[in-house]
Amino acid sequence: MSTIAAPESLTDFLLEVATDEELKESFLADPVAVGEAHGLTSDQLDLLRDGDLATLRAALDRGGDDGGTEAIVWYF
Amino acid sequence: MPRGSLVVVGTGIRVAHLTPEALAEIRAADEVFYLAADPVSGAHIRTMRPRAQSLYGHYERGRPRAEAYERMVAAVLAPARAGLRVAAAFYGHPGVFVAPSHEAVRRARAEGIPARLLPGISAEDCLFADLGIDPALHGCASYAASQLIERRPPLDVRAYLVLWQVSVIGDGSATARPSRPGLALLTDALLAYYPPEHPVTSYEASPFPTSPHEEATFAVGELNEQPVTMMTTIVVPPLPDA
Repeated sequence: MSTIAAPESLTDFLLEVATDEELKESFLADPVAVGEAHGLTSDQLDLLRDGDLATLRAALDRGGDDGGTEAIVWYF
Repeated sequence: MPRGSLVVVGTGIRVAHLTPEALAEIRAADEVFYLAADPVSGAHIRTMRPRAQSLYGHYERGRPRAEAYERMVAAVLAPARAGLRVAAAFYGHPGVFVAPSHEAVRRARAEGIPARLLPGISAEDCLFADLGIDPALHGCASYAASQLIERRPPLDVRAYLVLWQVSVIGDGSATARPSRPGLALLTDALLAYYPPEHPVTSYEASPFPTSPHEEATFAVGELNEQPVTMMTTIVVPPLPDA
């Protein structure tokens, strides 16, 4: 497992997992231990473990990324 | 003035889908634009190119999406016309259900600017993988759901049918909420081809490394009662041979 400073946001954590296969495997095997080691709150952990895709996407958008408070459809 | 260029790439559905050739173009470009469907993909682009510009701001809620695409095309082409090497990254496969990517390439070439569009991983590619569907077995047709309703094309019901953009049927505006009336129209349209008890599956590929894809199977006749998200794709399996 990577040893890193606590991420500032859930997006940062997900990006780290997305680019680190070893970290991803560790998280999927033990999300509580890995999540806590990376500074995730219990709410964030619950969201990652139990939230559906739409809920997770909305939570990330509310975090101030591109989507603002409510993401507009990306359809072309 | 040096001659600019344009390369359009796809980010795939999740970060790991970005291909090596797309990564190389993003890293080598003078100017990078991107339109990501989730914050993680956007953050990934920005870690590589902190000055990359999101095209998301061109959407204007309630206004026609076509207006946003026109602004995106203009934004992407401006630095290429000024002689810069431009990379534009779009969600999924940049050539599949992506209007501004094709239009930007078309206009660039018409102006003598070298332009290419590189393949990426689309939602349909993920659908085939996640649902275990091989389109070679029965054939497969893909339609925007609105097209199916408006055109009522002849369908081979012995082949798979993939319906895109089911949440914005009949709605060309930039919106954040699925259209329930549109889903009712789609249900009626499908019932012209399939018996009401025929199964359909709603599908959403996962953009997140920690989450699996989502799928739900129900009868065609119950489609209009099902929850859909903005990212839902519908797949209708073949009717069995008589």
